[in-house]
Amino acid sequence: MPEPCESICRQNAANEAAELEKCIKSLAEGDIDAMGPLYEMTKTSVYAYSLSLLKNSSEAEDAMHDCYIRINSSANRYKPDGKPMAWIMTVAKNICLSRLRELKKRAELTEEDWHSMLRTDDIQSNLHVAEMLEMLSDTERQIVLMHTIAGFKHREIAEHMKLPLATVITKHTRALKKLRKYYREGEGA
Amino acid sequence: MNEHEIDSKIRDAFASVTPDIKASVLSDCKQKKGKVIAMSNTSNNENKKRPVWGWIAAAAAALLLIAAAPFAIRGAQGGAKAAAVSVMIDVNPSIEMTVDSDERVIEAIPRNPDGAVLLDGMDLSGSKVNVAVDAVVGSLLRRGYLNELANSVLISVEGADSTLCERLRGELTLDVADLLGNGDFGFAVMSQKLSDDPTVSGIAEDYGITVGKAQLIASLCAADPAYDVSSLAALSINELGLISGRKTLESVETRGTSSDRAYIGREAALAKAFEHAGISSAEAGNIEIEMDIENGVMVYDIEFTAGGTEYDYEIDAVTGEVIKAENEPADTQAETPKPTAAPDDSASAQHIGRKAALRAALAHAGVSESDAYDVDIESDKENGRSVYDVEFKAGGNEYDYVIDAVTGEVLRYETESASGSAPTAKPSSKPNSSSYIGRDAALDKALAHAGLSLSAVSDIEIELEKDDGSAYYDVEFRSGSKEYEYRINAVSGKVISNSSEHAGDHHDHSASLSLIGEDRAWEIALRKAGLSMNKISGKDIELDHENGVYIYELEFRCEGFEYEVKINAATGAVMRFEKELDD
Repeated sequence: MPEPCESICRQNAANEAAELEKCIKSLAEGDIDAMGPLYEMTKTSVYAYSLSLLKNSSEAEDAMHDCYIRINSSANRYKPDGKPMAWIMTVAKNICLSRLRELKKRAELTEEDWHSMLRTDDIQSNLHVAEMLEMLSDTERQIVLMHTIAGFKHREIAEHMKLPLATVITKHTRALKKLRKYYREGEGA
Repeated sequence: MNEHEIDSKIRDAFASVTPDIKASVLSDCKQKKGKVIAMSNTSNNENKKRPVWGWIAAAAAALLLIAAAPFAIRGAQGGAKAAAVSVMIDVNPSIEMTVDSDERVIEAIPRNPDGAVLLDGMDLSGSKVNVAVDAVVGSLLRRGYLNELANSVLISVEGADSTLCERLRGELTLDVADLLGNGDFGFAVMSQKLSDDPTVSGIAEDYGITVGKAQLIASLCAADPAYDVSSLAALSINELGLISGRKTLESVETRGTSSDRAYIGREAALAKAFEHAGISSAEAGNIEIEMDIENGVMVYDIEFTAGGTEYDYEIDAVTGEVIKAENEPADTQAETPKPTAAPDDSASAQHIGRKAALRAALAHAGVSESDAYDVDIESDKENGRSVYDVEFKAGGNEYDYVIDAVTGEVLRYETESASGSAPTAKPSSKPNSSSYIGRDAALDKALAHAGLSLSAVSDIEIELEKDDGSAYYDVEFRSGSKEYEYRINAVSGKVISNSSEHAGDHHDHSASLSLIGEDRAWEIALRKAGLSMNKISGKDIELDHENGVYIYELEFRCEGFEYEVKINAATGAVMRFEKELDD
């Protein structure tokens, strides 16, 4: 990839982190208006991640809602360390896991397939992505989504998922290999 | 087509389906502001109402004493005294007692519904705090809250006079330990002095748990940042005691051992792990067993080494199911490899085991076991189905199989000419992979050589490669705008070669690298396909970099077929040719 883009991307990521930390700080001080920009910056990451854990779009939507409520109520516990996204994803993870536990206890969770979860009016392009994601194992899918959508580095994914760094890298490489292959099939469909 | 295009496709897909719930989030946040969360207990109540034990008589005696005491003391007592200390007792019922400077209870307050049940009909006001605590413990036993499955008590003391707090904490801990020590199911008494850390009160408020339990959870999280508060908050004091286990927690003193009789037990868990690994207990060394929580499930976390391999298991503490099974070559070379067979979990009830999965893949590929090398088998899940991901090399080809872990059916497979310009010859003698330093160590060596820390680099790729019988790790990473490539001897860890260059678009390198060029690549690909340029459609060419080799990846379509060709960009050799029906 061209170097300037890469450095711009990195710069953007750093700016976004600073921006997010500002929002969290404002929330901690009771300024609820900061939720708007925080929501906009993180919604796709939070939703995609919830979807990858819960595999059910309405559950993921509920989890997403709870996640922002929790972010608001625990904002005062965030210690600025330049990694607000990691914190937000941990909040999302906690919410999803407890939801998952509840659902499993009640045995109500029916897994949707990725086709139905990515259903929109613009169905054509999403179908390819759904197909691609179906090729991946659960772990691979989570790694890809965290890397792609939340912009996590391998090291951060390893910390978040409590996996060895090497495992994350191997799985990511393997997942990308699969995606490259199935990308074409989606295109041909 | 490259990684970035895939990335942006995935991003777009999720962006287009992300629901818009901003309005409801904002309105709920506004409502939530200032609202105090009511105290409710989240621990499991299933251990209540256990049989009563004979020795509870001792505790009952203390209770009788309490029943009589208030009259005497109340009579003597003038006005109410100020609270000097708070003593909190958590089992599942949670109770807080405010205590004056004479160590007499001012008030006993239930902190959850079970606490209210426990205190019903008991008047502890005016009693000496140690007598009151004995009475509470007696009641906990009598009502079955403390039993052979859950025998843990948490005592938390809070107050401005830290000498008094510390003394009370010590005395009450001994008292309760003495009382429970008479029983036949062991006990665990954890005690702590509460700090006024706002984080702790925040946890208590958020999860509706007592401050004492919240501080214990905070201590656990401090000891191991991998824990998340929400899953710990859902646990009982006994479960928290089990997890604390042998961890040394700052500010928490533990006497006794929490009961794990509700679970299959350490021995049974270890046996499950051995069975899955296909080894006998005599072969295993360096065994470590800890209880832990994984996705809200209590597990035995088991580590051991056998035959030069490190095993890491997580066994469901209730069902005995193997939740996680990982193994890798032991990192330490010092370890003497034992002459054991490769791990084989064929004994596992549900899964066919790694060996059988490999056999299925080999049979399908028509490769004999002795011809396969670089074998890598991972158990994985795909759409809820357990699978084995089997990779191996043989005869210059790379194979990647996905095998159903239960039926052994080949679900998918891929074959690819082994990376590199020419098919690698099979090593004459298979290197013993257990003597490799491991990927992490290889990365460390490369980073040390480059003078970089792990946090300074990104886009790390590590591959184990073998050539002429010697093995090495190809390590690639990026730091700032520089790309590094290292080749590390897989046994000695020595840096064999290294290079670094400024990252840039690969296409920019084409000239300087004396590649064959895209036109030539098309020529080669079309000749191989027996087609001409004007017949094909959907053309795509991309220069890629795999394992240190520049490759042109070409795609095109013709007469209902889709073609994919990989060509060594330096030599023009066709490394892969695929033609399939374009559906």
